[in-house]
Amino acid sequence: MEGKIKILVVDDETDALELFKDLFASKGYEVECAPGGMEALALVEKSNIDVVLLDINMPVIDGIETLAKLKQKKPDLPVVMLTAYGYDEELVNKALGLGASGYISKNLPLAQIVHTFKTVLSTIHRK
Amino acid sequence: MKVCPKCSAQYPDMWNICEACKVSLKKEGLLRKVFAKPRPCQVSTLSLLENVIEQSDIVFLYIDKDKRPMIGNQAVEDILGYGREELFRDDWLDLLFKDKAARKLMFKAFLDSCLRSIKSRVYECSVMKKDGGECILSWRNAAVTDSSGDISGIICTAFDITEEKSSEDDVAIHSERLRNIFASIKDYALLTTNLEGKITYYGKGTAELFGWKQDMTLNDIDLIFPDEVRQKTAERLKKSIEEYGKFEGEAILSRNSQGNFPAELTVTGLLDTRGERVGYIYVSRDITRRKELEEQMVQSEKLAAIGQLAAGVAHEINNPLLVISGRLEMLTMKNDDFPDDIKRTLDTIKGQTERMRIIVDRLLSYSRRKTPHMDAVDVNEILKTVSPLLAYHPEFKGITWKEEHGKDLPKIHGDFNQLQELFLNIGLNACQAMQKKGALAIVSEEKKDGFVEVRIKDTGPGIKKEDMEKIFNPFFTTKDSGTGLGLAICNSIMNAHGGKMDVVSELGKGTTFKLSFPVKKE
Repeated sequence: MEGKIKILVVDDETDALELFKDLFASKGYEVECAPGGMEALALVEKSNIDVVLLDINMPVIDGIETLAKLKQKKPDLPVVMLTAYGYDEELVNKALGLGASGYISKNLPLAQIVHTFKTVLSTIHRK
Repeated sequence: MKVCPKCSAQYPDMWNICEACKVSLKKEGLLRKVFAKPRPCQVSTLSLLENVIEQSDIVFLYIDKDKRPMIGNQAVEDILGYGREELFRDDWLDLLFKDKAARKLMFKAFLDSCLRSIKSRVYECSVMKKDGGECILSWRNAAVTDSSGDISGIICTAFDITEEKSSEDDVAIHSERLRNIFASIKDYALLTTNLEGKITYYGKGTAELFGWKQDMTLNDIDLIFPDEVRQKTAERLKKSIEEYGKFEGEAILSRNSQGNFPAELTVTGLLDTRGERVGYIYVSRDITRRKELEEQMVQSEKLAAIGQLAAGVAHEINNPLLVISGRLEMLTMKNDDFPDDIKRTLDTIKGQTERMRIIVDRLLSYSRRKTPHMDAVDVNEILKTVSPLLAYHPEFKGITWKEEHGKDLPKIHGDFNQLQELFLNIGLNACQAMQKKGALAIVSEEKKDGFVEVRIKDTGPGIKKEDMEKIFNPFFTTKDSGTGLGLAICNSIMNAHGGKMDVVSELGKGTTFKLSFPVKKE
């Protein structure tokens, strides 16, 4: 299952984007990258994305707005939020309210980030 | 024809001077005073006096030595309402004093004293009028002697001073009322001084504010200013009064050797009925509480600003930190066959990035906008989860520990996780302070005032007096590797719970944190 899943990572920080690409690729996932919300919206149209890892804090259109637009286009597309704020109740609740499947704090060791991602994925698949 | 005494000219017999001199004197205003010719008088002096007395507004009475009125004027009837025939009898005093026996006795005694000596005497008393009303008469009596020099009676004159007295009473009533108002004012201190700055009056509230005894000798107004600012304050007041006629502002006042306090102070002129300044009125109010609230507001704003800054810094650091630690992790995951010196370097970088991660985490904890999930929680249940967490912490080694949980504690309104963090933070601080040697006590109990109190006590070195005010400030730390955010976080958690945190510390003996939470109302 792992190797077949195509993840779209969305983050305006190039180094972070590259890190996630390498991390998830090393775990056998297929990874696409988008440096912003607009690019992500364009990519989900033409690429067969299984799950989106979406940073909340981004310029132009932020993660919350991108999530809302993604859900308009593809309501069933699972989106997992990435946040640098740690557990920010207000933003997380807003994202969950808009249909996000879960959230991952960037302030975690990589192994934990992958573990959390897998846990969220398993709950999506159980549904 | 007569000869003018001034110019020796002859003139008709109408004036004492000639026409020319009359014109001249008229100009000088002296004509009527000196030279007007008296008109011929057709009445006798006695008759004239009788008329004057009869028509006077002043009561005239002649009383014989048996104290019976014999002669009286119209004023007797006008003022008292009795006809003279009604009054001129033996029991006339019964009419004037009716059931006021004591007053009658006093008046009799007054008449007796007049009969004993020819010296005139003065007496004021209230008498009953025929219509039932009262009037106040001011008597000036003098004994009358006969041809042999014996006292034969008394000439009494009396002025009706009822209105005058009434206005005096009004003044007394107003004065008393003002005195009561002064005395009842608690929040404001009111006092008056004379022009020389001597205190002439102060109310009860003033005495309480300044810690004065009620019977304290009134002294200089300067006493209300502390020694160290006395001269400066007096100069400020003087300057303002000279320029604006008053002083309005804040000043530091002295509480009679019990310390100083900030106050609002107004000084205005005390004027007499002619508008002349005869002294000063000082009105002051203790604004210690207001100042504290202002200070708290400034502190809250400062903390909020620090919180925002912390959140911004945490966010900006988090991303590069994620990349550094992530890349390092991936590097070591892929290849652990590094030479020793590179391994040591990588371990150092890993350790330091981990430290940065903790700092960022704390910053986020401090600044996060998370509102507590309030629920009815049992403080003892939370404390039970804290102890094991503390016990496994390396800082806990060498510490003995005692717990006393109050029985059947009422629940409080709180967030379980935040309160757990609060107790853990303070407990850890206590352990760190004791440096692996000492005793930690955690006590919970219900207080009578509707609060549940948790006390966390250590036997560490204590907190220095100068540090005490700063311990809750973000980034203040006495530890080498501390972030200075632990107690700031605790403080914000306490505030969110409507609780109160008191710290009692003694150098060399230890510190106790007393955390009080309001009991949840049903």
